[in-house]
Amino acid sequence: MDLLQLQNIQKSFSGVQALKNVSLRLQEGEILALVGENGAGKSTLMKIVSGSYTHGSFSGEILLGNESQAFTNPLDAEAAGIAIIHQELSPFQHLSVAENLFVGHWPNQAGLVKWKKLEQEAAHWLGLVGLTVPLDAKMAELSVGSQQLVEIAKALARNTKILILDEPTSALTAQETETLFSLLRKLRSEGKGLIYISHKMEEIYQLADRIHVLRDGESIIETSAAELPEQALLEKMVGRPLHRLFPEVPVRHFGKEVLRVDHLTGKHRTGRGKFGPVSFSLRKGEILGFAGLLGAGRTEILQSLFGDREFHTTGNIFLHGVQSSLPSPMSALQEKLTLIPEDRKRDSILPTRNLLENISLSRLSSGGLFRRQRSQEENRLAKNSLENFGTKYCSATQLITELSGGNQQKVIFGRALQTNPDIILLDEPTRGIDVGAKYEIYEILFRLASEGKSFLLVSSDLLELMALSDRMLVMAQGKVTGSFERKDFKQTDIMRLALASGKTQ
Amino acid sequence: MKYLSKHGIWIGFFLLALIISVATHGEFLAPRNLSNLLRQSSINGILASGMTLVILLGGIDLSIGSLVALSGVFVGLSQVNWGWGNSLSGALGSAALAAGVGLFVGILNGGLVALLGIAPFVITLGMMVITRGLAMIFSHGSSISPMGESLAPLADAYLSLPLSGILLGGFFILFLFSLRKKLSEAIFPSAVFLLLGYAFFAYKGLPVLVVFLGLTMAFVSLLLSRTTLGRSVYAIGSSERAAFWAGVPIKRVTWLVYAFMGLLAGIAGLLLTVRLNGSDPNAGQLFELDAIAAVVIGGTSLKGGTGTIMGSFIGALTIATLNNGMDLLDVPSFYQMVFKGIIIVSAVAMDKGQRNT
Repeated sequence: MDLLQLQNIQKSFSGVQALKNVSLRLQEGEILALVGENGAGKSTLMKIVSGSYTHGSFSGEILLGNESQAFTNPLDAEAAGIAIIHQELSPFQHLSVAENLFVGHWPNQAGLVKWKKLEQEAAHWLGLVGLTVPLDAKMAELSVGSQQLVEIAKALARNTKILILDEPTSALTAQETETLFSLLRKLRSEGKGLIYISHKMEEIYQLADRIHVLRDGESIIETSAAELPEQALLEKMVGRPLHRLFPEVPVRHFGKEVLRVDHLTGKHRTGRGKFGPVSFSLRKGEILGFAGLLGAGRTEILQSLFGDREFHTTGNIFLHGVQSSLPSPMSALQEKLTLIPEDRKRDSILPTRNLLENISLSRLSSGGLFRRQRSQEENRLAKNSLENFGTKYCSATQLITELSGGNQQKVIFGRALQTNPDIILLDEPTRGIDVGAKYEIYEILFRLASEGKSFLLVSSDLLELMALSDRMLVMAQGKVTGSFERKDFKQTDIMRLALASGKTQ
Repeated sequence: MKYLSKHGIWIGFFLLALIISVATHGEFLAPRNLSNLLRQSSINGILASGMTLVILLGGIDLSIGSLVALSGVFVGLSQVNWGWGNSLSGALGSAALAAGVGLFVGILNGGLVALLGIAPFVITLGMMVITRGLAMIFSHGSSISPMGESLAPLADAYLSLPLSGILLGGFFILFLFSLRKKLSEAIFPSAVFLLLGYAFFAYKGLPVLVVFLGLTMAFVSLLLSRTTLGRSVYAIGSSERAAFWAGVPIKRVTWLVYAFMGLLAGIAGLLLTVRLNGSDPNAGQLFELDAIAAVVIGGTSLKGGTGTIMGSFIGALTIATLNNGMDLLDVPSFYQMVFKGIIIVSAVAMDKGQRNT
C-alpha cells in the first residue's frame, strides 16, 4: 500500500521554477533512495513533505494513505507521522539525551515535567535504536553517529511512519554507518517507509528497494534498484545537453605559473575535518576548477590559501615561484591574492553599509589603518567598478542590501578587484543568483581571465564548472581523486570520482 | 517626511527643549543655563565619543565609570600626597598620570577582548569591579582634596570671546567637512550650534571643558569618516566575518578602540576630579550607563555597524537637557531617574519604529 504519494508538485521561487511536476510514491516497508545533483530539488521537495514549505506555497497534492494533506507548519507534518533527519543535525547540545527525545513534548502533569516517566520512555526508545548511553549524558558528549540515533529515536517516539534521512552518513564512521543501516533495515521490516537521500552509490545499492531520480526539479525516473544499474543511474542524474547557458570560452595563451601548491594538508583546530594532501599549479590567465560534493574540502583549501587559520596547514605554497606563507587575509591581499567567499550574506557583504564602503573595504585595509582616505579617488574607483560590471544601482551611497543578489555579487567582485589581484579564489560565485545575472558573472570571469587574472574556482554546479574551467581537479572526502583537461571533461566520469571514497590519487 | 523621520532624535531634542523652555518660562534658554548645561554634559559627551566607537564595533565597555574614579584617585594622590600640586609641571604630571592609567586599563581591556575572544560585556564587567577596588585601595577609601591651582582652569575657565569665536567656527567648518557635501544633513546640527554659540557668547565665552568635548568629538568624527580605522570599525560591527575575509585586522582594530576608550576615561577622570576639586573613589558611578544611553539615544545600534558621532552628541545633550530641565522644575531626584529611564526606552523605540517603516 502507498504510505505517501506526491502528485504533480510544482514550486517556484520568485519566478525560478525549482520543482516542475514531481510525482513520487513511497510504500509501506520500503526504502526509497532519492538522488540527484546539488540543486536538483531534493531539499526543496523534502521541505514540502515535512511542512517547512507550507500548503499553498506550492501546487500539487500530498497524499497520506488516500487523504490529501494541507500542512500549515512542520508540526502538522510531524503529527501526521512524517519526520526528517537533517544532514546537519541540530540537537539541543546542552540538554541530556533523554530530554532531547521529548523537547516540546515533555510528559507532564499540570505543567510539571514528570521526570521519571520521561526517563522510562527514553530508555525504551533508545533501546529500540540500539543505543547504550547514559540517559543523563549531555548531547554534546555524543559522537555524531550516536546523535543521529537519538534523532531517529526521537522520531520513533513521535509515532513516525515516514522517515526521511538527508545524507545521514556524511559524518559517520564505517562502524556507525553499519549500525545505522541495520537499524534502517529493521524499521523497514516493521513497515515504516523511508526516504533516503544520498550521493553515495554504494549505500544506495546496499539499502534501497527503489530509486527516484530528480534532475532540474523534474522526476526523471522512479524504478526498482535492480532495474537501474549504476552507470544508467549516473546518466539519468546528469544527462542533459549543454544549453546556451554559458558565454563563448575566450581563447587564451596561458602564461607562466603564478601559483603552485605542494602537498598542502589541513586539519581543523578542533579536529573536525581535514583535507589533503593536495598539489596543483595555476598559470597566468587560467581557470582551475574544483569539483566535488559539499564537504569535499574545496572551500577549506581556498580559505586556507587565503590565510584563514581555522585549519592548521602543512605543505608549501609558491607564488610566482617564490615560497610564501600567508598568515592572514591581509597578507594574502598584499601578495595579490583575493577571495570571494561562498556565502555572500554571511561572509561578503556589510549589510548596514553603503555600496561605496562595501567596495572600498579590501583596498583600504590593505593600505594600513591610519592612512587618510581621498574621497574623490574613492568615489571615482567605486563608480568605475560599478559601471565596469554593469551593476544596477541608484547611488553609491545606497545600502548594499537594497540590491539584488546578482548585483551584490558584482559589488563584491568590485571589492576584490580593487586590490588589483593576480589570483582570484572564487567560491560558489553564482550561488543564489538568477540565470541572467549568472551569465553576466560568467562574462566577467572570462573577461578577467583574458586580461591575465588566474582563478581557482569552486562550484557545486557541475555544468557551470565544466563550462568555465580550463582544467579541473575532482575531490572527495578531502582528497584529490582525479584531474581532467577541458577536452576530457565528462559529467559521468567527474561524478564517479566525486563520489569515490577518496582513497585514490 | 523621510528626512524628518531620519532625524527623529534631533526633532525629539528640540521638542524636549521647547517643552522645558515653556515650563520654565524661558529660564532654560538663559545663556548662563545653556552654557552650564553643556559644561555639565562635557564629561558624559567625552565618554560617549569613545563609547560610540566601542558600540559601533559591536562591543561594550562597562569599566569606564570605575576607571574615571581610579584615574581621578591618581590625580588626587599626586596633587596632594605626592606634592605635585604646587607647580605647573606637577599639574602636567598629574594629567599625564590620569591619562596613562586610563590608557593602561584600556589596553588591558582591548587585549583581553581581542586575544581571548571572551564577550566584552564579561571582560569589562570584571574590569569595572577590579578598577573600583583599586580606586578604593589606592585612596584608602577616602576622598582627597584640594587640587593645586594650576589645574583649576581645566574646570572653570572660559576662553576669551575672540578665541571662542575662532574655535567654534573651526569646529563648525570641521563638521561641515565631515558631511562630505551632504549639506541637507547640516540643518539640525547647525541650529543646535547656533543656539549654543549664542549662549557662549552671551555668557563668558567657551568653557574649557567644552573645548575638550569639542576636540574629542572632532577627533573621533575625523577618525570615523576619514581614516581606514574608522571604516574598519564600521565594517567589523556590520559583519565581522565579511571584514575578516576583506582583510581587516580585526584584533588590532578592537584593541585600539578599547585602548582609546580607556584613554578618554582617564581624561574624564582628570576633568571630573578638577571640577569637584577633589578625588573620590566612589566617583563616576553609572557613568558607563550614561555614556551608553547617549550613544543609543543617538541612533547607534547596540549590534554595531551603524551610527554617528553627531548622534551621540545629541544623545548626550538630550540627557543633559532632561536632567537640567527637571532640576529647574524642582522634580525630586527619585522621579528624575524614572523619567530618564522612560526617555531612554522611548527614544530607542521611536528610532526602531521609524527604521522598520
